[in-house]
Amino acid sequence: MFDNTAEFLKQELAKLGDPKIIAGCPTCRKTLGDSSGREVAGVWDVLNDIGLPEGATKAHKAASLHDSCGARGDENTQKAVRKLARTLGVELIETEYSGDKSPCCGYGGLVSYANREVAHELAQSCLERTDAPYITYCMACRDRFAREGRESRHILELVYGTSAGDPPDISEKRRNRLVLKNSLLKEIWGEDAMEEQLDFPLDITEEARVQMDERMILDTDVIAVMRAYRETGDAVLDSGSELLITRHRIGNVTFWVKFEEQGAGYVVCGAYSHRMTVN
Amino acid sequence: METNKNYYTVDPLGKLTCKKCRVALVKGKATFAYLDNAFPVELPVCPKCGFIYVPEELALGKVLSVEKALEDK
Repeated sequence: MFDNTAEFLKQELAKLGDPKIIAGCPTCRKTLGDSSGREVAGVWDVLNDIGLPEGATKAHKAASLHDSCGARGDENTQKAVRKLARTLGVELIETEYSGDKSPCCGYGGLVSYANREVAHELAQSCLERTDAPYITYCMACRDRFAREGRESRHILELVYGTSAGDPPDISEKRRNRLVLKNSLLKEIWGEDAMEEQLDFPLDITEEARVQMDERMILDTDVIAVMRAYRETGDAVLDSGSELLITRHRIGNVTFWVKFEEQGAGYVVCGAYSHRMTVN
Repeated sequence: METNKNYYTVDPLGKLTCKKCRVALVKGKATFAYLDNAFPVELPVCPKCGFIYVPEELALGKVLSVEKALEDK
């Protein structure tokens, strides 16, 4: 599958006249470079060349730079990011476990999804190096540290004087990617966005959202369940909680949604899932 | 003599009603299945349409741990 994708990318790049590739992520830089056999620059290399844009943060704070696993063995990238950080005015704190010895933030291998406790331990092993805030050059690392409550910034947030904000939940993450894809499709390719319209009002309580994020249930899963409910009417009323509970199987997972009917729509109060089938 | 082992049993005690059929759910027999393993259980079931209810505590408790054990094999 990797070979097919690499081949596909090669062909598409050739159609575009084999332009220079600039990567925003050290892993992408390495992987694209290896698979395409061409020189791929990191966005930090380009910024070191052309200089900082207007509005770049004039940092006067001490911070530690966390080297991402994608830059392991890539001395050029590790040096280039440090140069960029210094240009921004950051007073860099170097720790013993940095560069190639940098620990894992807990995102790689999707550990943060497969085993939260282990991911937490991994992030802590990064954060215990110093009490200072962290600068990363990988968005996954920045996300992981922020979730652990440590002040962290992706270096591009400093370069462009902007903030990425609080870590989004899984539904927001997906939505952000969709928004990015749709705006690129529209602005660059002039294609219409593929938007799924909701034809009934649906509210999800804050409590339900938090629960869904913890249980890795997407809002699109919940929408699919409610659509199915509108067709089948299958639900149970729990007189204890006074909530209706319906379910729908999507792929190899059965999603259960706890809700109230409100007007022409619904308010979702909770959701859970399991993989077992029940007959 | 046949021994009927139930891996789980819960009595709805009249607290659950099927919305479509408007009748109370009763304790009924069901089978959980996952990765070629089957487990007989007793769950709240609608006596009319057969809707089987899986309580949240069960889904996140015993069912989850059995799923994980089977997946780790």
